[in-house]
Amino acid sequence: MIDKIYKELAILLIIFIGIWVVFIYVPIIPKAPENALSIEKEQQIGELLIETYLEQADILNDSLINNVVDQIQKRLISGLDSTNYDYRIYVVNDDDINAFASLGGNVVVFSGLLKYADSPEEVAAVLAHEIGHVEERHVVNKVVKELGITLLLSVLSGGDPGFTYEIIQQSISTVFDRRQESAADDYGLQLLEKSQIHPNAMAAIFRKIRDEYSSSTYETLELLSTHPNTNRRIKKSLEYKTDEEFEAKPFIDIDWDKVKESI
Amino acid sequence: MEETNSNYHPVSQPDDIPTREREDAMGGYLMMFAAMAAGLPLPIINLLAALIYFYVNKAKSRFIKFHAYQSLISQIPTTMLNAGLVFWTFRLFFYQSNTFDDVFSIGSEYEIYWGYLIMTSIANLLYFIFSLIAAFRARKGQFYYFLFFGKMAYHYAYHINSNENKVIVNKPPSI
Repeated sequence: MIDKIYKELAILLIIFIGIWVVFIYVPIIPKAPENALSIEKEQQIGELLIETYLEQADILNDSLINNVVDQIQKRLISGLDSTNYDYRIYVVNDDDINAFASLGGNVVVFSGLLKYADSPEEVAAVLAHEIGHVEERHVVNKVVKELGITLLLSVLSGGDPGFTYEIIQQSISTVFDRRQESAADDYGLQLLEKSQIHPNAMAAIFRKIRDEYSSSTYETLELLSTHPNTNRRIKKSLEYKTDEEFEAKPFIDIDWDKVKESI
Repeated sequence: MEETNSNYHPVSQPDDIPTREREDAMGGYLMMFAAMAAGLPLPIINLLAALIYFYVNKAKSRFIKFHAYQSLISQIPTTMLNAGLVFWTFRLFFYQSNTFDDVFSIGSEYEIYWGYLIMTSIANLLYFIFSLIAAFRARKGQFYYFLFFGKMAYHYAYHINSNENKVIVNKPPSI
């Protein structure tokens, strides 16, 4: 008899491994957790978050830079067909070459990125990528997945400030998965084209960042650290087919050398 | 059937089992729930409690030995699944990685994790339900065999060890 019981053990194992595999493909959690948070609520929370963040951040308040960022933003917004977000771009004094999108269309650019970019187009490319994350609701997706909708909404009803800070940290250090990064790239490239900025600018900035950081194994740059295949992304940007009537419109009012000097 | 008769002790009938024994047998299942609740953050405490309960009670009777053993071994896999879940949850929380995306093509780490979470929940639920049924049966002086574990426990508690009935005969030394 004792020999036959292993058949039963096998049955049990098959049942449970079967359950596991089935539920990998049939997720109980909704595929789109971001739908749990309406855009209005997201913007309310986003405003609270960015306020808290900016309180402890070193905002760069330079009229020249503000003007430049404003122009880039206007150009990109003009390329958006329609958006539910009220985009705000903040420049923060930080030498890291980075930018991130928080909830509700608030995008933070580090001054290191401005210093590093060789043209306003390159900055626009990074911003277009971040706008892609916002429009595709990747940030919400991530935060809802990590923290849950209830906790997130508790911020609105005056939850404890420590938690607000936690969400900020969460959205800054957000690690998107590759599908999301790829989607944001696609969105960004299209947005650049519609904004009359040549999509190759994205390849230019990515390539620079890659060369800068490829020597060090320590990946300081969150913008690229989750992207194991930077080369493929650069290639995609270079191979992006623009419309035949596409014509890049340079930022004629911006004197980029002056901008870099002023940082 | 023949094998059962020759190699296993006969199973006792409900009427022959005293109330005291029935309660001890039932206790083997019920105390796991208390220990499991206490040991939730570190799901090893219930295993320790089960071991202690088993060793304290196994000598009392074969009926108790069967039930206590069945309860003990049936919770080992559940406990291991739970420990894995705790470990994985903490890992996900403190250490983000995308390496799974590269290693497995079936899904992201999150999807694999959620599948595991659901499987573990089902395992716990089944363990809970079957333990309750077994506890009630034991209280009535009956047997209840889990898949696999039931037969293992029966074998363990009722199998006749070949050395068991050997009568030791003292002999004088051979001259």
